[in-house]
Formats: sequence, C-alpha cells, structure tokens
Amino acid sequence: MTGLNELHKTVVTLPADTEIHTERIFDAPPEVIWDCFMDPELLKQWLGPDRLEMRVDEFDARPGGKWSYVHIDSDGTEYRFFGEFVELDRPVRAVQTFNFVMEPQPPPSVDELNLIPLENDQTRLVTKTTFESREQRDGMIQAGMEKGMNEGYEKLDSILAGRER
Amino acid sequence: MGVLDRLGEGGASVSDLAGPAGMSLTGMKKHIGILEEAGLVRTEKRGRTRWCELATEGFDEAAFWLEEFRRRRHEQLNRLEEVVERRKRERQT
Repeated sequence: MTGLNELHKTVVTLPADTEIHTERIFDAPPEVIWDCFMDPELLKQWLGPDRLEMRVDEFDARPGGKWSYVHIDSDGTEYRFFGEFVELDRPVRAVQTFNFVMEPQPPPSVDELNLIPLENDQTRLVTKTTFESREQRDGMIQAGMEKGMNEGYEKLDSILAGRER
Repeated sequence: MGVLDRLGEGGASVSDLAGPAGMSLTGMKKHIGILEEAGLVRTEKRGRTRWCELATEGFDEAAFWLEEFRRRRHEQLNRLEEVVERRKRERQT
C-alpha cells in the first residue's frame, strides 16, 4: 500500500457553472470498482463522510429502479438521500439521479459514473455531476465544507485530548 | 482582458472598466452589480464615479469551499480503494 495515495490523487474540477467533475485512478479492473458502487454491502463500507453509519433502505440496481440510503450521526440524526437509476452498463457507465432530502426539496442532480480500463488492470474513474443551477452546485460544495470543517474540528478535539484519531 | 483580471492589477472606476471591455457604462454597472452580489468585487462611491476593487475574501471563501469538497471526495475515494483492495484479494483466494 506504500505510496498508493500519492499515485492516486483525486482531481476535482468545475468545467462548467453547473458541473463538478472528479477523476481518480484505481489499481483494479472496472468490474471490481463497479461492484463497489452497485453492491450495497460494499457501497456502505466506503461511501459518505467519516464516522457516519450508513444504512441502505432501497437499492434496485436496474434502469428505472430506486435507491435510498441514510447516513446516521452518533446523535441519531439521519441524512437521507434518494434517487433513481437511469442507465446501467456494467462495467462501463452508470447514470443515476441524486437527491439530498431537505425542505423545500431542490431538483435532483444527475450523477454519471464512467469507468475507463487502463493498462495493468487499472481503472480511471471519472464522475460528472450536473446540477440545475450554479447556485445549487455551490450549495453542494458549501454543504461539504461545513461537514468537512466539523470533521476537522473533531479530529482537532481528539489531538487536543491526546488520543489517536 | 476580463474585469476580474483588470481589477487584480488594482482598483478602477466603472468607466475605466467599461471602455477596454467594449461594454457600455450601463452594461458594466450591471456586470459589476452581479460580481458584487457574488462577493467577488467591492465598490464605493467616490465623488461622481463608482470605484471598484477585488473583494479578496470572497475568492478565499470560494477556494476554501472547493478545497474542502476536494478533501472530502478524496477521503471517500481512499476508502473505496481499501474496499477495492479487499475485494481483489477475496477474488484471488
């Protein structure tokens, strides 16, 4: 595992006002990556912010099928997400709608997942998320900032308390 | 040259900005209004002209958001990588 993270940097770009792109290389063939996204048992092992429990309530991985899951805080607060699978072409490309439950409910964003096979059984993962508006996209980034900041503070707390993270 | 690039070199009045950008004074006023609302430009009335400057804190905030998003996404994909590694080993055995 040495140096893996150095080689496998995540590249995040904002190529248009309503889009977020991310790219990342993995040391595994596309089929393996695909299963980590489309098998709920595997998905809940890695998706979402640190330290939040994840519960998958619905996961019907076929075009038109619905998915929904919650991230659960230690105080029991639930953050619910839901959407619908639009296109599933294992192990190449998946398209799904994505909603974070809030009042009033904003329009869904559309998530595209593309898996490009590389030499040596590697895969380039490319995601593209398209929002209704720039406002909505920036709101998403902002929400990430808040969470990230809180996580940062929690880590700082642990350090100050003299514990391992 | 874009308005933000120009303001990066120092403050300017709305009419200073309009000419080189090939825009009318009214058009530039509108444009500055949008940038001001976004927190990227700060303006003040100076005599009979409106003076514009970059609001650097607006850029810092925007860059900070994106950096946090990047960090979080990276963390998540690191965990995906761990699951991938485990999955690969399971498949081999």
